[in-house]
Amino acid sequence: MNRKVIRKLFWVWQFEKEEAWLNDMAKQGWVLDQVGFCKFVFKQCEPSEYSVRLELLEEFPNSEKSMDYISFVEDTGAEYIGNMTRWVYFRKKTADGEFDLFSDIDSRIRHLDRIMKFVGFMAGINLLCGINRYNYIYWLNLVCTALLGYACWKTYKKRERLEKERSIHE
Amino acid sequence: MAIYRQTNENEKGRRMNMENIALTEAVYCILLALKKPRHGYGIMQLASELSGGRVKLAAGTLYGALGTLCEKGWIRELPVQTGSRRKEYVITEEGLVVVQAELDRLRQLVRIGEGILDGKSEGKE
Repeated sequence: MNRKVIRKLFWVWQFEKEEAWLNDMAKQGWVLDQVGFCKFVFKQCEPSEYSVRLELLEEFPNSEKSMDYISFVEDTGAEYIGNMTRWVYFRKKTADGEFDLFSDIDSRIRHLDRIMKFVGFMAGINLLCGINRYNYIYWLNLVCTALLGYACWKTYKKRERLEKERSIHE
Repeated sequence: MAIYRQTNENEKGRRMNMENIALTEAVYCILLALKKPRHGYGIMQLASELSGGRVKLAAGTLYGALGTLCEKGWIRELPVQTGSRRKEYVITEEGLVVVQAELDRLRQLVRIGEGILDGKSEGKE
C-alpha cells in the first residue's frame, strides 16, 4: 500500500483551509490515514473515494464524553482517523453518502466559539509569559500573543458573518 | 443546538408562553422521527428520506440536539440492549405535546400564506 507523508503547517484558524486541502488530496486518491503535529500521513485510495472532516472537541478525545461522540459519529458510517490534541479527524466513503459534521449554523457557531476559546486561552498564556521580566524569550511570547490575537479576531469575524446569516435562516 | 428560532426568555429568565415559539426544522424532524425508538443514524436517514433529501442532519449537529432534547425531557434514551452498542432514543409525552403544538403552528402559517399569496382571502390586505 502506498503511503505519503506531508509536513505542512496550518494555523488554528485555518481549519477550513486544512479540511479543504485534505479533501483535495482525497479527490486525487490520497486519503488521510494518520495525523501528527504539522504532519499528515496519507494512504493511497481511489480518487474521490473518501471525504474528510475535522473538528475541535470540547474535551480531549480520551474523555468519556468525547469517546461517546466519536463512536456516535462512527455509527453513522464514518471512520475515526485520529487526533492532534483536541482536533479529531474523520473520513467517510463518498459512496455512503454526503458527509458533514455540522448541518446548521448554530453548530458551526458553537464550533467557532470553541476555537476562539482555545486560541484566546493560548494568547492569554503567552501574554502572561510575555510580560514576565524574568522570561528571556518574552519577546517571542509577545509575538505569539499578537499572532493568536489576530487569529482570535479572524475567527470572531467569521462568527459574526454566521450570526448575521442566523438572523435570517437556520 | 438551537431548539427555538428565537430566544424564549425575557429579562428575568422566565420562560415565555411555549405556544408562540417556533421549533427549528432539525428539532421538529428529530421529534417526529422518534415517535418510534431509533438510533442516531436511523434518525438521519428517516429525516432525509421523508424530506426527499432536503433535511440533512449531520452527526455533530444531531449529537448536540439529542443531548439537549434529553435534558429538556422531550426525548429519552432507552436502556442499551446487550449486543447492540448503538444508543436508541424515543420521544416522551412532553415531546409529543410539543411537536403537536408545532404542527398546529405550521398549519396556521400555511393557511396564512395561502390566504395572502394564493389570493384566497381577498379583503384582508
